[in-house]
Amino acid sequence: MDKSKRFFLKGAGALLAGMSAYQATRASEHSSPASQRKYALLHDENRCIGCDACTQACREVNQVPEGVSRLEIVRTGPHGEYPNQTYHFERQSCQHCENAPCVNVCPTGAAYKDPQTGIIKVDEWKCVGCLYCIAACPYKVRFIHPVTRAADKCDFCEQTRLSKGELPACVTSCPTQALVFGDLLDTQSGVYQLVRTQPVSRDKESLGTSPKLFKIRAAKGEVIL
Amino acid sequence: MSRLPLLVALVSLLSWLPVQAKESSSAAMSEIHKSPCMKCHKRNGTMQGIHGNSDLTVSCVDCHGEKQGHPRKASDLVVFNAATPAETQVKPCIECHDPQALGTLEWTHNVHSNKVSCSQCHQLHPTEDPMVSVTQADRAAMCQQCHQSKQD
Amino acid sequence: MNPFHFDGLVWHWPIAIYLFLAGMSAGAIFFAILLRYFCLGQDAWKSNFVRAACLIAPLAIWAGLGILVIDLTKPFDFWKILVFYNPLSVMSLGVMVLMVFQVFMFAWLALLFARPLTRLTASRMPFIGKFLAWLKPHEASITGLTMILSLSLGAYTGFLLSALPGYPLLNNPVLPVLFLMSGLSSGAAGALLLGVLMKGRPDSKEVKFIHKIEIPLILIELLVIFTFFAGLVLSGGAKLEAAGNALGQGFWGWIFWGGIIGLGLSLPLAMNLFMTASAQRRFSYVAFTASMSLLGVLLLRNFILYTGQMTML
Repeated sequence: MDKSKRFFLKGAGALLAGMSAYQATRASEHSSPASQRKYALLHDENRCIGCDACTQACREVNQVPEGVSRLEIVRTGPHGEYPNQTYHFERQSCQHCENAPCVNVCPTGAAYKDPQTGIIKVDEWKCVGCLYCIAACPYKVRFIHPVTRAADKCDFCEQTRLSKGELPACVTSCPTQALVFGDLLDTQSGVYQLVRTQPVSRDKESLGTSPKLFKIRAAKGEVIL
Repeated sequence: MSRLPLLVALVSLLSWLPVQAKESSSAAMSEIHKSPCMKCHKRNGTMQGIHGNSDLTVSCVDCHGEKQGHPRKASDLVVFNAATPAETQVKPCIECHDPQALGTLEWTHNVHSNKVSCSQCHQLHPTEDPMVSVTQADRAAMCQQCHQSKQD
Repeated sequence: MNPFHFDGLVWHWPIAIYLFLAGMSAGAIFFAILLRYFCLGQDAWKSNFVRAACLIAPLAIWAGLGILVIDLTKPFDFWKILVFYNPLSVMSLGVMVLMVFQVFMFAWLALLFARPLTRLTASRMPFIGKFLAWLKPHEASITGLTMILSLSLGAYTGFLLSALPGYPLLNNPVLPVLFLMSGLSSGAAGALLLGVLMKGRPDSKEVKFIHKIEIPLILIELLVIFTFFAGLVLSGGAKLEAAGNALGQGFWGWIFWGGIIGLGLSLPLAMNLFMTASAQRRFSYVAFTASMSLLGVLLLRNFILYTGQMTML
């Protein structure tokens, strides 16, 4: 093998190694598949008793002022006749859509999806308060925070609890384990297993928003015509 | 949410009474305490709550049932504690309190209906029913006393 | 139900005023261009109607933007909209269109008034004359772009609302066309009203020219409104419900049939036809007709904004 050929091969090898190292560091810097998460929440309406422990915990942990709320349990009923009456409880909070209308319409990019976690977040500083996201959200869960004057909503307690390695406040406060939180990309997670095996549904799927708030609908029903 | 409707219910129930303001002071002297039951039940029988108001003309037997053989022989007296079936305990209450009206004031009445006795949450004998002054947080905590499931 | 306060209402009347003013600005410059190139020629700047349109175009857009900024929850942070852009956001694209529109609008206005401006500034600020002379060879492209941008701005006011997926009435492909048409006619009406107020002759050829365009424009507007609601009704479901809530009942039903269809479209159409047929164009006729047109457009903006938010998916 002549000298120049060997030199070329060595050089090419070094270049390849360098490039792959560069690629690797770049990948870990941005969104490496290993550290990426897709957080989701499941609300089992059959387990929910409508006690409002979650809404109170949310208000307390996230310092949500009175008059606005990040999380509400909407009660419908009573269904049936005394003494056998039931209620339905539906969770109303940010659905953390994969294809979020609020993110699409935000003129400044203050509403954005965190590529690391899949959580829809609000950059309070960037928000100018045009209300476009509030109008665009088909789930009507966004509001103007009276103190920051910026749009606000559920962030799965990203700031207040996830960052400390704790579960969202609503999940830990639920006495009946009606809420299951986890990573959809982790096939071992409870939420992944339940979404795979249970008849889950999501709100307004026809809009193409791909929400990440899953629901197991109440088994007892009532047709209201 | 839970406090106001109860208060409204109680106040509206008694709004026609001219004496409601001084009812606790006069409770010891109210008609109900002239009942023969009080001869024995001096200590555990005093009725200081709204139900003791003379103008309501509620007597011990209205809720607890007739004396029959009590105390020596068997009787059908209703004791408002966990030993008595809920349905038996609820029956005298709904003689006056319309379940539907209770349900509109506080939705949890509807789901517990005759499956949980009223006395699990309410107390009539003390001056004030503890439910009247319950806070939002107390209320959620009370739900959890029964509704608690372990992670499986 | 209170027509101005109900569940799900996010945007209030200031937004409707903004949409009205932005549409009027676009329409005014559109008609100024038409008057300049298809009616009056080089001396267009002498016409009171062209001057009126050239006053309305910048003033309306500034007033509209002012209202928009005040209506933000953080008015002092409005500059962030100009610094940060989101290419997916209709509002962000609209801001871009608005900025570029203003640049070309002023370039076109400068060219329109090039002769008097050069004369006025010849002694003290000769660079203005030089700048205008430099601009002159680009007149054709500036005019074309101003025209396109004015049409984009007019349509943008509709796209802004039609991008909301949760409101079946607003999420409607015909809405941008409807708002463009009504924006153009409000521009024409504004130019006519301010023109006659500025002592423009009501029987001048500008008025005849505008009327000739306004009549088909109103007919198209009626057709587009019909298509808009026929589309909602035929879609069924929530869209049908939304159309029923908007047209079939209460305050906004009266506004639609009486205010928009009656006073805002039919009456101006009849007056324009009458004035064209009889060739009688008096100050009172022209001013009244234009006022009714403007009222109709303002009501239409409010009607669409409020009834659009009345029905949610």
